[in-house]
Amino acid sequence: MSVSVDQLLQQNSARLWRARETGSGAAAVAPVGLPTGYAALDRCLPGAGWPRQGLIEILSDQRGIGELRLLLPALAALCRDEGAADEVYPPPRPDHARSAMPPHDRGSGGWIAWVSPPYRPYAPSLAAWGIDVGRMLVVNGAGATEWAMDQALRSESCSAVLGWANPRDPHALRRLQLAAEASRSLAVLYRPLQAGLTPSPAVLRLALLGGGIEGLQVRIVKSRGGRPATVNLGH
Amino acid sequence: MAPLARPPSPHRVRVTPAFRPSALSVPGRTSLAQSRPRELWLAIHLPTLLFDSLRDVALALPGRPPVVIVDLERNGQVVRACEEAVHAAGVREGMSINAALALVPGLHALARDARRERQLLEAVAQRGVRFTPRVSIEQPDGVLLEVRGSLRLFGGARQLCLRLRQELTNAMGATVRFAITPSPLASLWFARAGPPGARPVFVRNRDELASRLALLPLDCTRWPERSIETLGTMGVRTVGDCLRLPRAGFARRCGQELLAALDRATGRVQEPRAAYAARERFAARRDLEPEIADTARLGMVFEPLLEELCQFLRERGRGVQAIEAQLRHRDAPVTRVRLRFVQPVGAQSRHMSGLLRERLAPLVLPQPVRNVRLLSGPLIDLQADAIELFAHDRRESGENLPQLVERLRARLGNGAVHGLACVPGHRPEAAWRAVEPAATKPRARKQASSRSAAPDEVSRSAPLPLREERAAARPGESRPLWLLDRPEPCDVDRLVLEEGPECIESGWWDGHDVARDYYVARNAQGARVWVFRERRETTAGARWFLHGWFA
Repeated sequence: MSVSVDQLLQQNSARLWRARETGSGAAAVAPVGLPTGYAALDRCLPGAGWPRQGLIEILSDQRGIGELRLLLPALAALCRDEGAADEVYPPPRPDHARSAMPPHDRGSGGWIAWVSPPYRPYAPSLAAWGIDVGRMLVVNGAGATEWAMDQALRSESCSAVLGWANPRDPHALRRLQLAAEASRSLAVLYRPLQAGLTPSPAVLRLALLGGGIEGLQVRIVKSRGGRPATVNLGH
Repeated sequence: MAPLARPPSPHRVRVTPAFRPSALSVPGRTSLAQSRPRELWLAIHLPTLLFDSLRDVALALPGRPPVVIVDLERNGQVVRACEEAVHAAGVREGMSINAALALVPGLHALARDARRERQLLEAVAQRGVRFTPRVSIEQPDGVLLEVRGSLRLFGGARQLCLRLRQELTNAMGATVRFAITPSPLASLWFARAGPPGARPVFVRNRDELASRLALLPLDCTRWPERSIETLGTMGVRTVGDCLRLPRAGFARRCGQELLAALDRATGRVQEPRAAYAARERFAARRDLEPEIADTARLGMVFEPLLEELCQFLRERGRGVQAIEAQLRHRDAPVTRVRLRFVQPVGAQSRHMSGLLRERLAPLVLPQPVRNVRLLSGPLIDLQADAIELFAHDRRESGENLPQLVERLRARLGNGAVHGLACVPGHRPEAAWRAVEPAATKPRARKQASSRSAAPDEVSRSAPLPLREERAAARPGESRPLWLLDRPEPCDVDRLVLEEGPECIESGWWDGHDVARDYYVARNAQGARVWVFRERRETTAGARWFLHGWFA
């Protein structure tokens, strides 16, 4: 029973997580994420994309710096058939990881819920981004945003649930994270930048800094299985 | 070329059997018809339906003036029906109201009410259900009952007619005429033709039909006036005259439909009738002893009622789209809680009770509740869905969406949840619309929505001034992702205008016309915004407005 460490690494490279190689794409942590559509960001995320399970927090105080554009390629891919999604955004992931993925985990399908958005999601513009506006569900949460998100996540009818809220109650966040973990939907919570100072059970936390000449800066505040980094996505 | 029926006549043409296609081509037809259980159709004709439907209105008029029912036909008001007393004074159907007033000065005119007429007819059909399960409504003023099986139970046709007349005339005040024959159409013709007081026509055998029908005037067939006129000029005034004509010639002159009607009336061809189904609703009540003031316990009270409703639905294999829970108090007005479902809901008591609890919980009751009622909306046929044999991802089809929408609406209100749709149009605020989240499969909708969003569609569907076509030509990056519901005044000095102007001038036809120059700008924080300059004078004096964020 003397198998060398190297051999073991060779055999089980899909199941083995090597801290050294996080996000580099060579042996990404399973499960494979949903490609963000921004290669620079994909490289910094474990799973080379948005985590499909667990809550994603996007922290931003400013409007109009690209906080939605960050998500749109992934949402468009969710609206599109899975085959087409792979063609347009070739995810940098190993072949065996792809084959290990159950078919229903690929993006195809359901509705996209917008819970308590600050303004109107503008349908013609979404359509121009390749998003099927016929599958949008806009919910005015009015103080019950977390509850509405929770319901949307549990119903399994949405392929993505976006919410705008700042839950003060850590239990509410925890519940949301649990629901996101149990659901196959992409769960995104937009919070103010200030919330980055308090801990959160979210899987991924991104702080958006807009402005300047260099355009949108995405700072990875927390990333389970990944490392903090800053990515510049330009305008 | 074949004569339609038995009765011998001097005009009858002798033809060889080879030229009788209808008789030759379907040799089995007669034996087939005879092997089928014979039917007997009782027709109820309501000759004074117009007046009967408004009888209680007429009776409620102060001083009981003589009444005519009028219809707004062409330019003037035309008398459609009148009381017997008025009829005796010389007022006839089709007279203008002025002529009628000249004859009977104190005349009161009532406008006919199609809804009431329909209701009366349905009420008659509902009474008919007591005599036979097979009831069919013949618009506008007839009801047909298939009574062959009921004759014995009610002691013969005579007794049946007596009972029916009692029910309809005494209880509902409707004037009725009956006829019983093996053919539904013939029954209707007999009932229409018969004088009001006469004994009902009763034809038991199909073979007798043609000879009995022969005497009927053509008016009772309600064929188009032109056809009846044409036939009249030929000296054809009764059904018998028609039956004597050669088939092919008759069809050529009067149309295939009339020939088919003759065939149905004489029993040559069977006539399927649409069955009348009573409109059912569910209603149940429960008295509470002692009274309940706690909304959480009310939810439990409704549970057995919902279970009853589900049993009711299960038995009928149907669903409801709306239910209403009524909470009755000692003096305070009834508290009503209405639930509307996105899709018809079958026997799903847990789903319904979950929604009802959600709606009951935040209620503030004016008084404790004495009794509760549960009412259903109209029953709806459930759509039969095939269930997938193999594992099926419910998420893909968004099947759970209706339940999600209902749960969200139960707590947040009906207006809080909506879908999106693109609308071809140039005004930014009119280029989208909040829609009902569709219950259809998303895949089918996908194409429709992407098509409506296509820019070339926009310019094709709405031929608008040239200036605007430029705006429609590039919708993609020139439109923001966030749109403000109402544009906010903004300070243009703090913005750097990057692109523009794009002129949008549109909407003069609906009173919300705009004339704006749109610019893409960047604010001090580096965010991209969509601003416009109002090209018209505004009352507030502000010229620049923020309308969206390129998020």
